[in-house]
Amino acid sequence: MAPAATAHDAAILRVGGLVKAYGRTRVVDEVSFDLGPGEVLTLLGPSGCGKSTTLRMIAGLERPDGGEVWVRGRLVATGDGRVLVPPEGRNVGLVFQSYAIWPHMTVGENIAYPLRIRRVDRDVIRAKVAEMARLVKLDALIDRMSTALSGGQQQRVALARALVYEPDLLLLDEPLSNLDTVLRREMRAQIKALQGRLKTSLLYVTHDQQEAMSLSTRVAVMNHGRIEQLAAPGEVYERPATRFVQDFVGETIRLRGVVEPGTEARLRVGAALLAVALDGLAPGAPVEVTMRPEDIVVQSAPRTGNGLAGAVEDVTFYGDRLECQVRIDGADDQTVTVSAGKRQGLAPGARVFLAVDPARMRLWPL
Amino acid sequence: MAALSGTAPAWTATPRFQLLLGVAVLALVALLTAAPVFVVVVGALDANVWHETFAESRTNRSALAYSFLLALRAPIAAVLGFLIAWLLIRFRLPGGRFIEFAMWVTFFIPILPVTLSWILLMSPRYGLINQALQNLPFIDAPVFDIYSIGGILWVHVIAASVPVMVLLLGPAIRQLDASFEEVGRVCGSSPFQVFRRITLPILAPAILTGTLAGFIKSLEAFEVEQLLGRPADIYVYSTRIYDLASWEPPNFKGATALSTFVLTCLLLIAIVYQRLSRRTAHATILGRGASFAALQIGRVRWTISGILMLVVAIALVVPLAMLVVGSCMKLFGFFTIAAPYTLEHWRTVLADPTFMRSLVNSLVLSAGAGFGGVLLYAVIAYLIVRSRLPGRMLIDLLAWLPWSIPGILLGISVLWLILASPLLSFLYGSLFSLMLIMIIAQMPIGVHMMKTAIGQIGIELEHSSRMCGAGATRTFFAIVLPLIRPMLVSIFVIVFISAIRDISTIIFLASAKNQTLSLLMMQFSMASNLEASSVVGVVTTAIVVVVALAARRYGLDVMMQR
Repeated sequence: MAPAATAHDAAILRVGGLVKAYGRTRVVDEVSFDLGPGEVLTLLGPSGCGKSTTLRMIAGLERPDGGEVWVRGRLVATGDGRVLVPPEGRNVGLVFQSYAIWPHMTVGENIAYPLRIRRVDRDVIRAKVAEMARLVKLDALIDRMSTALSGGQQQRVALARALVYEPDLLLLDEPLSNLDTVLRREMRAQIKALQGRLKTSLLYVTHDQQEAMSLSTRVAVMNHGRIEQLAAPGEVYERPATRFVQDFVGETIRLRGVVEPGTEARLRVGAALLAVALDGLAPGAPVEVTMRPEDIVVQSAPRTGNGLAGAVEDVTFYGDRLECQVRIDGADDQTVTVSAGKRQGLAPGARVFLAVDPARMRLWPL
Repeated sequence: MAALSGTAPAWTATPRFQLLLGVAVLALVALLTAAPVFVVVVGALDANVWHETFAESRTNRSALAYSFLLALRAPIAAVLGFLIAWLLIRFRLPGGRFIEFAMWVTFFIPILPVTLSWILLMSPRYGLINQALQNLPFIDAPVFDIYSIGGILWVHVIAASVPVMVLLLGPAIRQLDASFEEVGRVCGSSPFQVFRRITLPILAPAILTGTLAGFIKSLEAFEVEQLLGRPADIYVYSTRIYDLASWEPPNFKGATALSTFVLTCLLLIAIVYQRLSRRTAHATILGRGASFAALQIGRVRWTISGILMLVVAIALVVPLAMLVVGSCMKLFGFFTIAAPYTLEHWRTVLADPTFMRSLVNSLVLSAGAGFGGVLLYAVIAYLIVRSRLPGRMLIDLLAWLPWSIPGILLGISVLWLILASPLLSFLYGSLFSLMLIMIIAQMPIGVHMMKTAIGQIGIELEHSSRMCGAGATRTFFAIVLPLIRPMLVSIFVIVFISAIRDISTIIFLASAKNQTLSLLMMQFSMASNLEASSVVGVVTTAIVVVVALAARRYGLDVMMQR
């Protein structure tokens, strides 16, 4: 145990083999990761994947059934119950999805509360609260009762309250999901700016991949209580490690094909032969090939090269673009929905060629 | 950063600590609620006592019979109360707000002073109503006799049972989604048909549980029966137990047997009640708390309003007026003598050091029970709702136990407990013992209301306090208690008023030293000094009304209000 602690002293948060079980079901199943200083790590996954439970175990609101949690080189929880530091002893900040702003206090009192608990000097409290309120642009509302705030304002109070005591680590549990789209984008930018300024390490939980992609230095995609992939956002998007990650992150176009015998690195999808790295798949093996819609270029005139020929079946107008449903030649049961420029003048019945870079395609054995 | 983080305590919750805390709270609640019951039942574990108490004493048997007969006021009051509540809530009546408010005040008024007023009105010897009626032709004997089963029933129904039912059933009626009734109207039913075929069947479970609760509570009555029943040789079990226990030497054995029998009956009814109310709790929350517009009706509204105003007059205004009149009479009830009015009794009573002592005792008792109760209930309710303590379900059950124990039984059990254990004997005759018993008596409603309030606080409000570095205790005082402040005020007022008007619960624990206003009033009444009793009654009632009104301004939300 001791060598591990020293080895990870640099990590703000270290989670090892974390388990939470309800009866026989493991809602969090052997989750491990490190979070470095100033890093933003996002737990991304669908609801029920165990991301919030993981966060709550780190916060001290749930008791782990296995594994351990270290904050700044200090062991704060073990699965055997030997160590269980209560939430107030971990010096961690948390912003809830519901914000949890205390309705019986003003904005200023809400922000000052953690400092009062720590018996900080009155004048220091006043100065720090004022500074924090300015940072989250709430300085005009500091004496307002917190019940008289909009959702976005409450969100900012929650942020200020969680940051004012300079916690070692800030946890955010779906902090933006109660806001409307415009406000969400604005708050996302503000959190990013605030984090850049204060250099606080963030652990961020969300089911929204855009939030995850835009905010994080690393993303951990979770499913069924396990981390499926832990990598930088670009890596997760471009090179998903599992089919779940491929499906969950970003849009996916999926086609079925067969490895063509006798040729090298060729995959047959309908009438087309695609050049693709086969990763040692045997000839005749059925596979699924996936790609991102934006990696497909829709060409009106039939061209050659790597790609699929087909006929447009249906066109939907979206203002800035067209969406075409294309039936792949020689594969009657397979269609692909792709975007095309609206000046391409595509109409149902038109012949198109879907050009795609072999490096952008991924194969999954069926 | 390091300086700030260093101060947060690194407290580790060990299972052993949790276990200790759970056992400690469980032991405390068990001592307060289960131990008294246990003592009573053990006292009655003797076959001879049962034979003596029930086979050989007709008085004991008739006392039980009368107790249950008088409890029949519960269904009567449920019907009347439901009708009044429905009329008040569903229709826009002239003076509706006032009638509702008057019902609310009536709910708090102590019943003993009201009883005095009804003696003044319906005594066969000098009752004002009887005298007025005797002036009419063909009537030459008093029509009403307040000292009778009918008289006792009347006082209970008009002064207590009906207002309670109005307040109890009001929320259920409000919760009922108006669209249920509106759909009925659209389908072609008349308002009366809607009432009979839709409203009534939907609310029937609520009315039934209300009736059952009223039935149990009506077995608590003591002072009305004591004052009106004894002259006519009508005993109920509570007055009978009082007698048995205050004989010289006291017949404690008989009292335990009688108590055990009643307790058993009550516990059985209470279990049925719990089952029923748990089921109706789901049944009544049908709508989404939809607000509905009170219905506009035609001229009938004046008639309905007039009838309800009459009810208010009979239940509240006339008794209070008569009480004041009675306190200023030279001879209680004698209106025809020369110069019947005097302030002499006021002078005598106010100059009596006993009165001042009782007043102070009453205020200290009520305030102490109020504060102590609020704090204890909050802690118990918090542990039940929020903790993972072992045995918290048992604590919940025990805290509810006193609900089915009438005051007189609780009083006599706690007395025995104090007499039986040398460790507790210091409590005997102390004001503290009265506070304690009032806290026990109000524990079920107090803990229940607290549980509801605490359950409504989002748990994240507490969790974020913990995240900010506050411990569990600090969070309880800085976040939980302030958030339920309106509920704290409500419960304080309920305990305060219950304590200041209580007689049956504290009567066995009182002595000259810890005498209270209510007991002084009872004493005066039993000594037939009804004038002095009225004076104390006016003072007590005034305190109750002032506290209730003040609390209402601070948002006391007793049931009827939205």
